[in-house]
Amino acid sequence: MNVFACVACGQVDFPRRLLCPSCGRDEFVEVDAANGSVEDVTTLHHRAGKAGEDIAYIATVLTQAGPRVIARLEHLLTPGTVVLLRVESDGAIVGFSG
Amino acid sequence: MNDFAGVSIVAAVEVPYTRHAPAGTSTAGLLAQALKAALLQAQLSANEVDGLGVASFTLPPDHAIDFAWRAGLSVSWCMDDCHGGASGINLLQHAARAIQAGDANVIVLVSGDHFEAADFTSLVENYNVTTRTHLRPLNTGGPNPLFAMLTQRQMRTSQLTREDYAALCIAQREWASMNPLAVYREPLTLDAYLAAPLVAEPLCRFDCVPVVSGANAIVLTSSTHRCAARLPVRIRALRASYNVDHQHGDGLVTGLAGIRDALWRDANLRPVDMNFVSVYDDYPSMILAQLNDLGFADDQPDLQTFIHERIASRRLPVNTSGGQLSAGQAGAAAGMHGLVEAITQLRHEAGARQVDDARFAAASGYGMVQYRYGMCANAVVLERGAAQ
Repeated sequence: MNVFACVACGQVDFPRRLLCPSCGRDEFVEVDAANGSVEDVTTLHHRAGKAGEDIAYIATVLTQAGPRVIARLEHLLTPGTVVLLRVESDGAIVGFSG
Repeated sequence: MNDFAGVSIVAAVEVPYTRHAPAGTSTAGLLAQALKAALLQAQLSANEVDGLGVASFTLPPDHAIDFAWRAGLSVSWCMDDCHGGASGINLLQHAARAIQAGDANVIVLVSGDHFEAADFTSLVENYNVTTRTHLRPLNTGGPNPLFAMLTQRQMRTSQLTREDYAALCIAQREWASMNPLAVYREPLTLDAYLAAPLVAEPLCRFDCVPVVSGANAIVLTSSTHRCAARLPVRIRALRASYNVDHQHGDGLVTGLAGIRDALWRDANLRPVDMNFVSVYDDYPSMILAQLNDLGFADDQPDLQTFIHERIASRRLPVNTSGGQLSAGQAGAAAGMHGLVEAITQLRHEAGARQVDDARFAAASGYGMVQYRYGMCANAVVLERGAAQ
């Protein structure tokens, strides 16, 4: 799991931008963001256009690199829990307690 | 130039929203109904229209110019708008400037959508590149989980409870009971709210807008046009703020906070002067965020008091149509719904829900969720003009 730091000014962002919102430059380096802390978590019961209940846990995770990411948790965790983050092959960011 | 002199809003209409539109319904057809109704209200013929603005998620592959051709319009000003919940006020801003600049004299703005089930799923999964890349794989089913977490943050920050959000929904449902065009008009009780199925905790069904099919339209002319002599509505001020924090914040403060001083200064009015407010209500938490950002809660000790003493009590009429939460969210028409209600109230044509002696109103737009919350916020202050 990586986030993106502007080479020119050091602004760290996720998702990656075309131009840095801080300085306008377009060169970024990847920064490791494999650890984070759960800030908010919601239990998702229903999705638009889908029948039936299929529980998922969606969280805002503050990464140790700075940016917040939206992740699916493998299990319901409380805010403040430290999690490891990985990116699945379909692009889903998944958080799990180490 | 921050004034909108010389511009009048001369019509505002809503094509009835429906939860389950009849077979044969199309987005273009709904927009055409809105166009026809707006011209009828303004007492205009189609060949007098020389400007068109369109906001719709489901009109593609057609665009505004295709709709203009299909509707038989020849125009000198034409605009597509893709700002969702901010589209109505965004269109209004650009259309008013076009009239001031002389690029057009009679502009119709239409917005609306008709969703089949697959259309809506496709929209929420492919709302933008960020959604498609990072949220769709999470199977979030749209923005509900994002605003559930935003609501949690607001609950913590402002010490609010689900009962407080219920009061907002119940108040809007009471307004909806007097709006024959609202899709949900039956009374909502606190018990029913608390017993409703949870969608994304803490949001329940009543915190999430019902998706409908429908359309809205407004007409602007120069103030010297004959249409402007009858029930004109004027723009006192309009400001917009997009991408104000680049998604680095918590979403509890919208772009309105940064423009409110300029908005009220331009209008030469204050929040207390407003007879009512139309605020974009995709979720109850965003009603509070926008009203707070615009300064409507400045004289209140906290948001909880503001909810119960000002909104639930109707001392400040908010979303008198019932808002999207009760009237429905017709796609991009959501960005024009509150604007149409404000104009209708200022024309004193709101029937049983008419606010007494309505002269001034504020309306806000909000939306276009990027990664964690909306990118766009705008607001307009309107005034009932003098008939001549």
